[in-house]
Amino acid sequence: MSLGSQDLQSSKVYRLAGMADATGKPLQKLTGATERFSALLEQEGYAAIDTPVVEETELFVRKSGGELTSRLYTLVDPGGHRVSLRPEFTPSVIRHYIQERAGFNGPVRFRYSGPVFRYEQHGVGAYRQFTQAGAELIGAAGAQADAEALSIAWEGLRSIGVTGFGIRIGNIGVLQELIGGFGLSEAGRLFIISNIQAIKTGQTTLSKLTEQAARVGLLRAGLKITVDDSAAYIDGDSTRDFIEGVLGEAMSSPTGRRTPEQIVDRLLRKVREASQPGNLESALALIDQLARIDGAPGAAIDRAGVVLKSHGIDASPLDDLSALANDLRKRGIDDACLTLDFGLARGISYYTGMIFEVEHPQAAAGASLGGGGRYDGLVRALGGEDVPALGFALTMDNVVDLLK
Amino acid sequence: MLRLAIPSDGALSDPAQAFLKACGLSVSRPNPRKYTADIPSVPGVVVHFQRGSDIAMKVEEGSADMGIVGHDTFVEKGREGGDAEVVIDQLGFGHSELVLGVPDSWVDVTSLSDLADLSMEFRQQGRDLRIATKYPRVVERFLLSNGVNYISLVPSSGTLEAAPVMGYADIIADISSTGTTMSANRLKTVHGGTIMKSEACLIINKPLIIASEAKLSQATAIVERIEAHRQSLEYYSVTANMRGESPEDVARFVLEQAYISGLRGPTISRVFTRDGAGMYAVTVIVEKNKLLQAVEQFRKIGGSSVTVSQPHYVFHSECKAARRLRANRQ
Repeated sequence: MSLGSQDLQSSKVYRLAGMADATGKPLQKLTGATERFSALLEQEGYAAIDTPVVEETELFVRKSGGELTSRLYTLVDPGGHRVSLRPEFTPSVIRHYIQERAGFNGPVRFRYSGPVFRYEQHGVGAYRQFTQAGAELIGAAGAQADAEALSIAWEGLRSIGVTGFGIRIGNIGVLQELIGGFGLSEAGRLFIISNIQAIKTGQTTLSKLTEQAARVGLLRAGLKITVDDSAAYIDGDSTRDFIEGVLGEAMSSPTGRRTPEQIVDRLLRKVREASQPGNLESALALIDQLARIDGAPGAAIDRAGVVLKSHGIDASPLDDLSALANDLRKRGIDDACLTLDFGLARGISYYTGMIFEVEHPQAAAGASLGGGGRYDGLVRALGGEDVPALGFALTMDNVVDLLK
Repeated sequence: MLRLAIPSDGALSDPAQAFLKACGLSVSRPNPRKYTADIPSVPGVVVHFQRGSDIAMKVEEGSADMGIVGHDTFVEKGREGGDAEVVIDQLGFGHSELVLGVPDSWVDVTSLSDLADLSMEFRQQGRDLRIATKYPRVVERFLLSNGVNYISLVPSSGTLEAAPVMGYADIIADISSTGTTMSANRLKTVHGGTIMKSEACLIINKPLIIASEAKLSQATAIVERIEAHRQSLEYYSVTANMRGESPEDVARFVLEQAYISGLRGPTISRVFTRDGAGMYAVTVIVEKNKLLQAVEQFRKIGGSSVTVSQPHYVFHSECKAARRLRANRQ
């Protein structure tokens, strides 16, 4: 014998951090729970779909905020394409809908389950691969569809055997509507909504936010040039000449792959869309009060009504919330397990309306049990028609941890 | 034989050797053409001169046991959960910032959110925002987590500042210690565009060091001196003469004063005066920023001839870095 196996003994290969092997009982628990949830969805008319684990990176980046895109597993495949492991199912399901179901009338319902991948910061209990099971309801608008998704999440958790959970509901669309009267640009409104969690928890103050808005150019006062409204609306050469004249020196340096015209056009757009500082402050003051309201749906809506009245704002957008609460009651969902939270914001930035999160007193801090919401702009953003849609997913690994 | 890798080129090269010297770890390199050297005060250590950008990798793969690198390079080249880890994170030199630079002429871009918006606009025109950088990993993560989604990184090692003019990138992300190179190349920084702040740090290959008694003791000797020297920079040693009946008498006075009661308490020794009067020299260790208060308190209780000196080392009861070296030893 020449070289025995001992001589060539290799070093061990270990499992990656944030990944788990599942065997035996825990595996049974996970597959059992997923199957029960899937059976319920099937009964409710949700068709099964499985989508590729790997997709073009573009699909996941198109409408997601930084919190998800920075955690993508992205690689260049041997053919030179930039691809990513799916961090969630929703964009893939929507892509399928656009590719295969375009023009289909009426709502389409999908259910799915499988592994998703997110490169979470290294730490105890941070899964980088976990199992999501969820549903998407495409082509349905209104409070009734919202209630359907919520009640299925509710029933689903019960079918799995989880007790003692609650559902926290918010609505980004209602907040958008309520601050719609302040004459803010879309960027200005998004700025407020994206800071709502920080406002609610007191991590920031209104004056800090106003300063920040000025720094990032959302306020007219923060811009180096001011153009009165009439001038800003003139897209003709005279305005451009004027601006190029004012900014002559800066604009004389190389502009890279952008033309001076493109730069001036964008500057004009920025000036046009920038908000009056007073308007942003008023909107922030309203959101500051609203964001702190959470509680049983009826009581929370009443409190929000009082706040709106004190600001002299039409409270009719709250009717959507009342309609949802009524619908949920009719479906037999106990009010006591629902929290209406005006300061709720979910990480993924494609949500446009109702959003929700499942919560449980025994869940580990930071361990999401699941959630979802309405994302009416997503189908269009991914290249389809303007179709309303919503969905949710449960994080099965964390959900089954709650089972005895 | 502990192999310590230090930079042979770049901004950290000279400061690293000066730093080691200040820590009592002078590098002796008799022949400047030779790529190895000794540290006479710690026998058995071999210094390897390496390119600054290679050191993190050399320590990770185990061809060096210990290294001095910029924290930014370590984050860029390091492998999460790998064998290399930081044992002293702030060596106090090699400070720098990794910042975004955009063309001066982009008068519409003043903040990171403008870049997010612009990358969207570029995408609508069918292209990506191109960023030239030596730190593609760190920069990509930073931009994506700030909503600048449509980007392509142009990893480059040459003179980045010229990239926008030459047209192979739109913007750059580069180390800026002064900002003068940026403005000379008609680039500007933007609000929120500081990607990371960095300074030199000491890294080790943990498994290699804990596997060898010799390496562990040499590594301990190095980190002890570095930490004690870094600590010494926080303190002054202050001595004053005080009249008094006995050491206890003087100590009682001194201990009543907040700023001069030392780390543990004063050291008091007798001064043999010509006239035989009772006089004692009181020495305490004082935090640097409390020096004037300390001098004032000595004056108040009758102290005279106050002398202040810089200790070379301050060894606390335990060396934190040495503990980190040994932590989780199998």
